[in-house]
Amino acid sequence: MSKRIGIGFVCIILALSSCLDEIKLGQIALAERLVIEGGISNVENESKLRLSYTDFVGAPKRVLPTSGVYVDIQSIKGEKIIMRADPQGSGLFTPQSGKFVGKPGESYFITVKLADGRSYASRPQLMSSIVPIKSLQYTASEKPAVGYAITADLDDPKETQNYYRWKAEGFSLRRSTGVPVAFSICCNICWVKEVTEGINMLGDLNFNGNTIKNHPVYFSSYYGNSMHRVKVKQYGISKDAYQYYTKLNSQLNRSGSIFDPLPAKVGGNVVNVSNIQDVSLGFFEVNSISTKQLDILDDKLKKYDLFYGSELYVVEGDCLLRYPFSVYFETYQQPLFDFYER
Amino acid sequence: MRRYVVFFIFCFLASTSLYAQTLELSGKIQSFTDKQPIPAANVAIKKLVKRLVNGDYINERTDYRNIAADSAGYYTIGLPAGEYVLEVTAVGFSKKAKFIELKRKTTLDLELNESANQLDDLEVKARKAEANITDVQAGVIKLNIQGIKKLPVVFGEADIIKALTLQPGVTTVGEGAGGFNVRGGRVDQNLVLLDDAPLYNTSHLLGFFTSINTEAIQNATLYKAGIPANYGGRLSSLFTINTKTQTDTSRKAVGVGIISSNVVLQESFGNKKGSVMLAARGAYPNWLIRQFPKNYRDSRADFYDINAAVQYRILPKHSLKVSAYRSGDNFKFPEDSSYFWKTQTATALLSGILSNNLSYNAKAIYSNYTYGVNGLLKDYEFKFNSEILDRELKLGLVYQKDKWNLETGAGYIKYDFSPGNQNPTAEGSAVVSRNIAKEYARELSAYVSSELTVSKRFSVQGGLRYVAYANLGPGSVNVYLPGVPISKESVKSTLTYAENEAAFAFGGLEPRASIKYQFNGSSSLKLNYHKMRQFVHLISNTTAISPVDFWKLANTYIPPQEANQYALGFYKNYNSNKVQTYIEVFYKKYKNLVEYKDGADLLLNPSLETELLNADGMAYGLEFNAQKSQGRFTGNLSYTWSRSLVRVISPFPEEQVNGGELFPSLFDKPHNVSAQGDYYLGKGYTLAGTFTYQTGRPVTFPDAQYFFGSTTILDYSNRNKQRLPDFHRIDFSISKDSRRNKDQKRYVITNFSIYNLYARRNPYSVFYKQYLGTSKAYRLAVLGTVVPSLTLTFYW
Repeated sequence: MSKRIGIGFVCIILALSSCLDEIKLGQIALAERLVIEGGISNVENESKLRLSYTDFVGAPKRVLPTSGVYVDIQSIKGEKIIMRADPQGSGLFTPQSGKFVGKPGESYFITVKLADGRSYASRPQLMSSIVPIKSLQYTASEKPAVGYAITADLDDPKETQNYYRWKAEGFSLRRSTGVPVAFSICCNICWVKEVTEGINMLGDLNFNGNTIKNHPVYFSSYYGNSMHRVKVKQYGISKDAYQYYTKLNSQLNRSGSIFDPLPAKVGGNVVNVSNIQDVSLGFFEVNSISTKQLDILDDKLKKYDLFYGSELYVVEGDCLLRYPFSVYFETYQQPLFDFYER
Repeated sequence: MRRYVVFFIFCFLASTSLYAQTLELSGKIQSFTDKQPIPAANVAIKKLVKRLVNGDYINERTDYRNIAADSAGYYTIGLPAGEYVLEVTAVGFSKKAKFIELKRKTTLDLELNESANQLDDLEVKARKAEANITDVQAGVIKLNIQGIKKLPVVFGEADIIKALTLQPGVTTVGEGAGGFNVRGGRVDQNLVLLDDAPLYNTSHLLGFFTSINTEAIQNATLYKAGIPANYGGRLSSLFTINTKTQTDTSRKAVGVGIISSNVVLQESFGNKKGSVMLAARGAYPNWLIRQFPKNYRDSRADFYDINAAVQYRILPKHSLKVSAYRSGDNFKFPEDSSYFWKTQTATALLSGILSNNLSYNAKAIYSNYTYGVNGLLKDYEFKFNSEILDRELKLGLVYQKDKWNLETGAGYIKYDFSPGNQNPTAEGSAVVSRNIAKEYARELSAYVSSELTVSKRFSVQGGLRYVAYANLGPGSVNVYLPGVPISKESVKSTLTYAENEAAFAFGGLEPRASIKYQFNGSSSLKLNYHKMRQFVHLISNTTAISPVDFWKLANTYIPPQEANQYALGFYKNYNSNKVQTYIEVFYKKYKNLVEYKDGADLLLNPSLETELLNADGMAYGLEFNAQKSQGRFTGNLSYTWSRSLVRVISPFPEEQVNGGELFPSLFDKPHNVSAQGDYYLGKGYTLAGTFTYQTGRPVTFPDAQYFFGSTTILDYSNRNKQRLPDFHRIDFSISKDSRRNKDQKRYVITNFSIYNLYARRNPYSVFYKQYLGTSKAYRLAVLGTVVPSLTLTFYW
């Protein structure tokens, strides 16, 4: 609620005057802290971690990967999964034994040993039971943006407290002028992939045992007449993860208003075993994943074909080059979500 | 406890038997112009003594006694038969002297004329010209309501709390923030009483305005120190606001501003024994909201407040005042949710004179504060609401003898708090009902205080208040495992309590003491101490108070807050009291403040204590003030140097903030300068200006960043270690009073104000947004531009 009030407050301010000024802050030198991102799941190839270190504020977008680190994940029943570091030094870790699949109802914890001897471990995290996505539906939207708003329904189990997070990705066609190749024009229509940003999650405290209806999961922007294909992943996350993301979300949504939550550190669930004040950043996740796909074939926004907003939306050049996550329509008549895993 | 009751009874019995030989002189002091009572007017009684001078007998006036009229303008005194001259003085009024030959019990009402050359007086004044020297009390600010209307305003609204913040020791966390901070205290540590009814929210429009209509106010007084023993329940200050009641006159006023208007009607009845006042204010900010960016222009906001008061002299020496207040706010976001908050209060006050020297007042008080949210999103419709019900009974007795007085009384408060209820409001809404158990408590208090003028130079005032508090069932209290931080996972067992069974009880004494030593007629030294306790806590984890903050009663895990304050002041007047100065130092120590765990989950949390931390703190500082209160130019200059620090107390390192060290509170602004002045140009025109300078408030800057997914996350290790740039601003106004003489009934006051004259973008906060994967820092100014406004008020 505070966030909404804060936004309202800021818009009052913006309406009165342009009161936002960019400022430069001095750098504060602090010891690097460990950051853990990712975790394990019940789905093959969906268990991976990235370990990195913190950077200074305002640093360019980069990851400071760890090196010489040992990572394993254990279930409380004794199963141990050794994680293998990416030999390229990206800081990514995947199960050494190949195709690992977690078991819903089982609890897992992580152990991390850094090259300098520091050792970290998490509390056991329960892999929740899988709650399927009941349905995905869409509505055509013309305001505030043109596109298809995708929502999900699910039946929340009454017996357990459940916490959900959604991620989604989608394809739609985009046009460009293309470039001449021999006697033809190449690469003027591409499937372009977009992914959701931000943290979309929900706890069932307010909805326990009810059908959660029309929860927004994705917005597929409309650039031209084409099929829209959307894949939604619903993560059953632990209570600790939900609380972590709630805190993270409140910090990410700070807008400077007087109703902002106070700035706060968002500590993760992995702690130095010999110094409990040394809490890693990020979060070790144990997720159960269910997936559903939706194809939107009935184009209800034809009147906006090639128009985005009020302007003709056909970019110059080769669409493969203009859009980083794209494939050529002539080659692939149907978009596939694993194009970029190939 | 029993010993104190016996002591009180003894004092009263003793007092009533002492005055059989005296004659009662009583009456009312009021303004000649508008017939309003003049509270705290000074009545100096001079005895006429015949003396032989050069062979002739002359009547010489010798000082006999000084008394002050009460808040309703009444005075009473017992005097031996004889000839006297009463010299009555009050700030903003010309002195009046009246001869009286006292042979029998006499009632003498007096009317004072307002000071010459200005129709109204300046904005903030002490009680009487030399009161700052002679009064034993220190740290008292009395606002002159007429003067506030001349101050530069924002959006055309004269605002008593914004006027307060021009005084030393009073600040806010920033522009647009609701409430105020006194001597390093938090917003919830101010007891704001409207006709003795406590207000739990003093803001309109998310904090831009104060929820009290200035046109309905008769007087407003802030006590930063020397809080009278009959008041308690908040640590930092007492702010009493009384609505208008007047007899012998009929008055109507309509004020028109750019986003709100108000109307005030006053009439006397019953052969001028009674009076009635009705004031209403409504706002129409939506025309401004329509200028918002496209996505927000469908938002809506409105607010209103209504004051009503009836006073009637039911017997010659007994009067009854009944007043009521209601205010409401609504704020709606497009298609999403709407917020509302509402305050309702009512007070019945019976006061009168029982004997020559004994007066009484009895009060029944009701205060109700509700706030809520309406969820409007399809399939998720809900209503959330929270409520406070505060009912009080108070009885006070005042006994006054030559050079000392004695006050005593008792009070009872019944609190019913409903922390939060959430229920679906439409068929098919996915929202489930969630109701947090109601909380109940009672507070009993008794007090005695006395002021004694030991000698012409030396006076003392002492008070003792005993308060007994109990948090009552029905309810349940968790018991947590020892040796680990309390959390929902560390609940060991749960204790349940039956209706009216005490789940938590507390009792304690709250002493108050003031000493004054007067060097001469123009300088004095004052020492003050008080201890205060607070049993209600505002739960707010935002920078400023917000409409969804809620109040919590003290319980096993959230003990009563406590503060001890010491203050020492030197007061000096110059030029026959035309220039008044003081310098005052204070030291305040707090216990049991509420702090919050990082990212605390507060709303609808049945185990709220698991998100809270216990803290202590201190505030100390030096205040200097110089005031010129007479002449064409009047003004005030103040400088405050102060610190406000807090420390989280926890044996668990993971709960500590800043390593368990003291750190600055959000409103710790060491240097604070304010200057205000107005110059009467003649023909009704007055120029006024204010200047404010403050050290930037503490903020928390990030000290590291990392990537999480595709998002840059900022990390904050230490709280409030950095500061915003300093704040300064000049406001300006010109007002025109169309009256040609003081008795003119029909007139118009026009105020044109310019807020933030040099358009400084005073930063309120710093926040971060991502741009191409890199965090950029921005600072936000709440009113970073010139804001002109025009207000017209018509009187007839």
